[in-house]
Amino acid sequence: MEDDKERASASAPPPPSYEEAAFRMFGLLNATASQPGHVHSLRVLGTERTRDSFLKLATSNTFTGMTIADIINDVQHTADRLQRLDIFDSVNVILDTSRDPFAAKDAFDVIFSVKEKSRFFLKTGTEIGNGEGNMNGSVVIRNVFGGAEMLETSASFGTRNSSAFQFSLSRPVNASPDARIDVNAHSVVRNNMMFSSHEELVRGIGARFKGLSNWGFHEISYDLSWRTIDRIAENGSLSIRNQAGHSLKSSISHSFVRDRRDDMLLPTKGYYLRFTQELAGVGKIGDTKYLKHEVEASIARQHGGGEILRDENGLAKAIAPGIVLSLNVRGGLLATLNDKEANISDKFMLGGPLSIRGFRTCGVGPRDKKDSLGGDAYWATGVSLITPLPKLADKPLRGHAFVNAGSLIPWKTGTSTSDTIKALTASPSVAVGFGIIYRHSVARLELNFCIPLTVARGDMFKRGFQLGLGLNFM
Amino acid sequence: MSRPQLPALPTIELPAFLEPLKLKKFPLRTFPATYEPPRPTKPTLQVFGPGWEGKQASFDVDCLSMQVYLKFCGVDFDVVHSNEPYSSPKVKLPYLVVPPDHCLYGEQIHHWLQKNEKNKRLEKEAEDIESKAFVTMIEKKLGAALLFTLWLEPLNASELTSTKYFGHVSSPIDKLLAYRKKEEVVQSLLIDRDVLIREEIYQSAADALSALSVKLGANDYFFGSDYPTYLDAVAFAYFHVILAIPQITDSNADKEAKRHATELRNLVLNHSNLVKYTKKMYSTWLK
Repeated sequence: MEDDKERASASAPPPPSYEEAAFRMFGLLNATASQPGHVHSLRVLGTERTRDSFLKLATSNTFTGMTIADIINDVQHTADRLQRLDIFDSVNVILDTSRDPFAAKDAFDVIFSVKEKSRFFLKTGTEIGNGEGNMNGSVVIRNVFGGAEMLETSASFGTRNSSAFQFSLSRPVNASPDARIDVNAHSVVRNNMMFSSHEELVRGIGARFKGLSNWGFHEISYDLSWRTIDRIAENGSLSIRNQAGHSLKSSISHSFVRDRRDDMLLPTKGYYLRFTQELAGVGKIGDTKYLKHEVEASIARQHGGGEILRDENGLAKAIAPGIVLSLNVRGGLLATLNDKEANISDKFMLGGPLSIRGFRTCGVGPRDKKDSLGGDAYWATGVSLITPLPKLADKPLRGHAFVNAGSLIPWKTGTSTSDTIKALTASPSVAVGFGIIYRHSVARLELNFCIPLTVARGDMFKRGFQLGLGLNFM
Repeated sequence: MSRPQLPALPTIELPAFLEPLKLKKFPLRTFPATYEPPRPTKPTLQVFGPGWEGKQASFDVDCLSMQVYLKFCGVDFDVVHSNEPYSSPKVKLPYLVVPPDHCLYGEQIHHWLQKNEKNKRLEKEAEDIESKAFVTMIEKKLGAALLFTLWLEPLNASELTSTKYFGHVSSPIDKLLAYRKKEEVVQSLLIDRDVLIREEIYQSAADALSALSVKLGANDYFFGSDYPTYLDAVAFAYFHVILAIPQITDSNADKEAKRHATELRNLVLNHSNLVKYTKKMYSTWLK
């Protein structure tokens, strides 16, 4: 005991532990938070290519604070914005009382010390999306003109899109990481042989605005594209043959997404909303004129769950997922604004493991022989009951039972509401089933046993096992 | 050496209690189809159209010759102005759709006619072979001159031909397609010759026309036949298309260019029996 005391008094006081330091820090902050203060100067160190005018804009709202608390919040906010612009590897903040001898008493200097990301970025990889796999490569040049502009050139080769080339140049609006505009050019060959006996070549240019509002994510875009439907299979149906040829589309579209789910691939709670509108035939360019609406909504509810699962040593390993009930509804309407029938590439397709399970990809709706022709109006809905598997509750594996239903019909502008409803409900395609879901980090994989209950004549249904791989399931 | 016969694969019979797994009973209910695709009830010939004069005749020689030949053969068929070569299995018009939905093109149409004993050929074997030689001559010599007139005489190409072939495609794609087509025509003409000389091409067309004029004489059909044959179909198609091309009346146009635009037409007009033949055939078969 004596020794201990002596030692303590002889040497300097022991350094405070992390908790203690944090506690003291918070105490200090609390005490000073309401004291007046203002930012006297702001410097960004470590930039080489980034333009001064851009940085001024990006950090402009750091100067508004009147108290120390405001300043700290503003600085933190700005640092976060800088980080999210995706041009800096790291952003460090130094906040100090002003060194300027002429500065007022309560003035502060702010220094952001940043490290710019490398300018060139090469990426190759394989990707799996909604029912499609591809390999791709892209070259990205960051911060092209010193204003967080991004120049991206990419090529990909895949199962559905035989080849796709894209070029885009984007820049943030008002130096904000949440709003970007871009101009792009693209050329895509889509292989629709599997379900529609043709190939489609799309070449186009466009401009896009992506941004956030109080309600959610918005994307507004203009696109001018030249589509060619060709390489009709030898045994392709006459309806597909009539679709062959060139068309030019000039369209503006807006899509709105509000995503409040806790997980994109396998949500347990929250909701998701998506609205898309497209108006084709803008500026009297092209031969494609239509107005297209699409709505998607889904909601998930969790019952039970939340307990901590422990392994045999009593250590927590996961949280019990409970039983999840999820409901998904989709609908769409395409109204042509001239007397021409809509092009197959603009029409809706329905069916497949990602939309109505128990039917083949694009297996629901208008059809000529084995070619699906797409429709102008549709609805589809799905209810799934997702449960943890016994003994495997901590793994990303679930069992589920589902009911899927929907209908896709041809529709002409001017058809009365009652006739439309009658047509939409006359031939519903319904399937039930159960299966296993595996949530991989990049995609969701399902193996289902499907039982089609009712079909419309001509529908391509699939009894028994069906494999589904994708992001956006119903 | 014959390969040893492999034993047949065993077929596995599902035990009776597993039979329901096949789900034979499902779907429980089949509703009417959401859409019934239209089915042609008689053969339809997909062509470029409508023609210069009269809506019936195509403005494309290949389409028109097949169109009129099917008439000679007594086939009951509809003509559809699809104007879209991409719809054809061979990316070329014309093609014939035979109910329910079988597509025939090129030689296949001739085989189909032969199978149905509808084809028309000359009775004498030697004449039949000679008529084939005439068809080849027309396609080679007159064909080259017609392509040249349509696509490489600037007045015709810009004012008439491009609009006829690509007018249904929206601007500016039509211009691009017309330009591509012109390049294609140049390439196809250069297969047989090293340089494109206007006088040379029209001269060989004039020779062919003289030969045809002599061969036809004052007869109703070539080779003095009582009924028209494939040679008549091809010859008529070429004469009709050449004569039907509208003349440019724009007075601002260069005189020399105008003369070139109508040069081939004048070559046909030189032979009064060919003109008479074309008029008669048109009124007999296409009106």
